[in-house]
Amino acid sequence: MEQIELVHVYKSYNGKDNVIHDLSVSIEPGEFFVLVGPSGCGKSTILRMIAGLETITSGTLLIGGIEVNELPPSERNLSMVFQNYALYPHLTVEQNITFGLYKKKISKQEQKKRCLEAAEMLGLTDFLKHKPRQLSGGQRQRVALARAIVTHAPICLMDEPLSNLDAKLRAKMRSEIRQLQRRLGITMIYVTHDQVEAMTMADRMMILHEGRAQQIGAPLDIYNHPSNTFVASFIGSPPMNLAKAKVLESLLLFDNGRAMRLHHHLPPSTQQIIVGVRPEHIRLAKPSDDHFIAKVVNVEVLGTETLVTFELTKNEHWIARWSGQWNIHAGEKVPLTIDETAFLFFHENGQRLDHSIPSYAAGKGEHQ
Amino acid sequence: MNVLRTFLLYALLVICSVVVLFPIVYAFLISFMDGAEVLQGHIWPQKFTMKNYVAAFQKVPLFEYLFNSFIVSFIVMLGQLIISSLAAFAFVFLKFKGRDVLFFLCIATMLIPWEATMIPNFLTVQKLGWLNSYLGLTVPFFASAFGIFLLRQHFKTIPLELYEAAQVSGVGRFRFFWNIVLPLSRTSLITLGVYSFLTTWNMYLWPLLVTNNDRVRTVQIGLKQMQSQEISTEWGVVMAAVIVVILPTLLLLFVGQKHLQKGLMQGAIK
Repeated sequence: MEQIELVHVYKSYNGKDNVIHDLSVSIEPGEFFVLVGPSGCGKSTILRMIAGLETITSGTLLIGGIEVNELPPSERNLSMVFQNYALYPHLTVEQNITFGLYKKKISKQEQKKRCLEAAEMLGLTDFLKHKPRQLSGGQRQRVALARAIVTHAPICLMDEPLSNLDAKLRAKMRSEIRQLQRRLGITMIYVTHDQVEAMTMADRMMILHEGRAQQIGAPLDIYNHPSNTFVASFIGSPPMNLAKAKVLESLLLFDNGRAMRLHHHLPPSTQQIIVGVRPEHIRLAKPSDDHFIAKVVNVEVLGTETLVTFELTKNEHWIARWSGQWNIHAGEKVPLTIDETAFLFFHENGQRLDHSIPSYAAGKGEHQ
Repeated sequence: MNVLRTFLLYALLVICSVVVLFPIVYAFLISFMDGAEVLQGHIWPQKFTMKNYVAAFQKVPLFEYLFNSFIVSFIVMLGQLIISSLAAFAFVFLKFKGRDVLFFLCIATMLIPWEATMIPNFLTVQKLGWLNSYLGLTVPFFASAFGIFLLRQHFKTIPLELYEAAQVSGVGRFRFFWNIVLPLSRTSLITLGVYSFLTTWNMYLWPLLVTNNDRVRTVQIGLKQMQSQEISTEWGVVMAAVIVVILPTLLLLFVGQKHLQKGLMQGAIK
């Protein structure tokens, strides 16, 4: 198990425009670390730099405390799983799994043993003599995983390994990969664009946008305390509701004259701000609650929960998420309330406005 | 309508194949005629005689020529496959400065007619003392821009991830080339092999230049010799020799084509 450290890393393909800006992060041994962001944010580039498949334009990459900027991929002692699995089509599953082992001076018997061990772990024992094209997507995925774990490398890199699978299989593989990582105790760096994967698998994750790290932290910390509006809207499905508002003493004024009164949870700034609320924090108001009336625009009943889209203002639609099945129809007007500790405030430029309210911690516990 | 179309199509195909095949069939038939019959202009021999075939092998050392041709063609085929595949591998999988410029330079040599380089090549071979040897007949053809191009195009279809996966797991370049790239490119390798074997087999001018004894001469020169050694050419004998000479060619095409189809099918299903 080795620590991976990136220190002020930049990457540029043409010498002018940086695809990765000043990235510094330290990944602990045995950690499941997820790089998540929309397409083109540079997450794969980071992974490939760690693997040694891309050069680092400036900055330092340390693995186990040693600078490895110039080391070829094979000497970094890591394994990698590619998005399209990169299986050798003309080799059998067994040959695919053991192909990379000869260089490590491992005897044929040991190779065989490790191969069987990995195959057993991933349920591939019956397919060792098959060619990749005879396998289903999930089985191919497992072969790619087996190939990564037979090397016994302390670090494993995965580049969107589940994106070619259907939703059901993806959920299954998600937990399989997580269990495998725990069992073997390897350091995992996992790239994905799917925030659900990131939330469910990561010990810690880094959210990237346009080559810059937006926030690094444990999934729930990021979910509850997003550092800017990008993170707030990227993590969570449906995303966090955001709207511009003016602050007038203890009132939040939205466009078109909607106002909400806050009692003690006030934004630290009095200018134009952006207000964010998670959908699950918008509740149907009880008679005694402070409430506002909103027109329902759309209702999606998902069985376990109901997503209610309502008009906050003429142009802005927010979504509320209620557990259970609700018999509400578009066009109805409903009284809604928002626990005021659930409000997050962002500066106009998107940055979270710093504030520390004692009641916030209590509020957080309530909603989990 | 449909029947008419099919009829027309087949009629056209039949006419074309008759035009194409006639010379070969005629040569085949002449090889069974005696001299007088050939001059009378018969198309179908009145009685089939094998005398011409016997004569062909007696008049010139046809066996030796065939053997030489086979050796030379085989060496050129092997040389081209090795050099083209290694060069193509470098052009696809290795990153180095000026790679693309070098590749286009390499392709540009296809624009230079072979005849233009013949004299410099001859002088080089002469200085090396390779006249009248297999070396002189084969080595100048090892580097083939066409072969490099053909294989490069095929290598480019191999996903780069395979190479990267090999790099990460510490598989060496040559091992990757040998165990992954070559097996995946079997189709193109066979195409190039058949192509280079046949072109070398049919080569005439270069063997004529660099050889002057029967020890290393190839069949094409042997055929030419048959025509000129006698005052009046015995066409029956010449044609018998021609048939003997084109047989391996046809055989190779036949076998090669089967392999090609198999290779193409595999690619399609995958």
